[in-house]
Amino acid sequence: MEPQEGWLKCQVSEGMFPEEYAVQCNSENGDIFSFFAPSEYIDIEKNLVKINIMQSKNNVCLIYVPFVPLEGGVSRTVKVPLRNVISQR
Amino acid sequence: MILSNSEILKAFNKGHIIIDPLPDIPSLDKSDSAFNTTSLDLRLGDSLSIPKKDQPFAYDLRKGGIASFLQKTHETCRIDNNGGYTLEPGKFVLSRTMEKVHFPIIQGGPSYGARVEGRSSYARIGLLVHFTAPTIHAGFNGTITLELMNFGNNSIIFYPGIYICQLIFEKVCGEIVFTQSQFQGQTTPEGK
Repeated sequence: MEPQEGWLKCQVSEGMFPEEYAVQCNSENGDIFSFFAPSEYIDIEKNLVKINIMQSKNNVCLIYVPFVPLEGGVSRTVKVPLRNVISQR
Repeated sequence: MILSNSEILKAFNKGHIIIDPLPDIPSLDKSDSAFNTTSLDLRLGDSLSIPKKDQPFAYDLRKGGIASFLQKTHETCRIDNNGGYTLEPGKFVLSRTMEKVHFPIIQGGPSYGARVEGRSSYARIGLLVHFTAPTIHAGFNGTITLELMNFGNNSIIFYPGIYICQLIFEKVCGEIVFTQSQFQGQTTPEGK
């Protein structure tokens, strides 16, 4: 079974290279995590990043982010508020 | 198991590994092929990200927003095709491969990953091209970020398009799963 593709609300800004963006997101406990992603993972107008939805329950969604977050202790599997996840743009 | 050059080519042809632009296959017309016996050379892209000088700060790995902070503390520039870029001894810059690499996760089919390595010829002059996290995991799609560090005693000048690193390809054993149910009741990494 393939994970469901979805989009996560985030803050998108310029990256370190051309066609790369810095992505900043909020986890379910309020911590901020961030990573760099190429343009094909980003909807810059809507401030969205492409993710995989693994599970959701009680307003919390478990997602798999496309690139490793830079913050220590944050893995690619992150719990985020369900309201920040949309299944389709 | 490491893939041979013929197995790498087969995986390209089946779309199991995607490299864009596609590397040249050795021939009488094109002798400088990217293929080695068990690896593929990748080229340096034309952009660099250079740490800005004289910035007294510390990266706090528990504080959120490191990506945008990194962007603000580095400047991006293009490598001049004629003059190249001179990396002085002891200096560190980021760059990227010219090629985009994609390892699609194919359900029920073979998936691949790779490890990025430097080249022994550059090691002899003290150039480190990649460190800490060499594995390109299955599912990855993008250019590979290179950490260029001059450990030698002399300046090194490099140009866009030079062969800068090599990829060692490996076939993934077993199915890649994402959801809890797919782990089939395993409660520990060892599956106990």
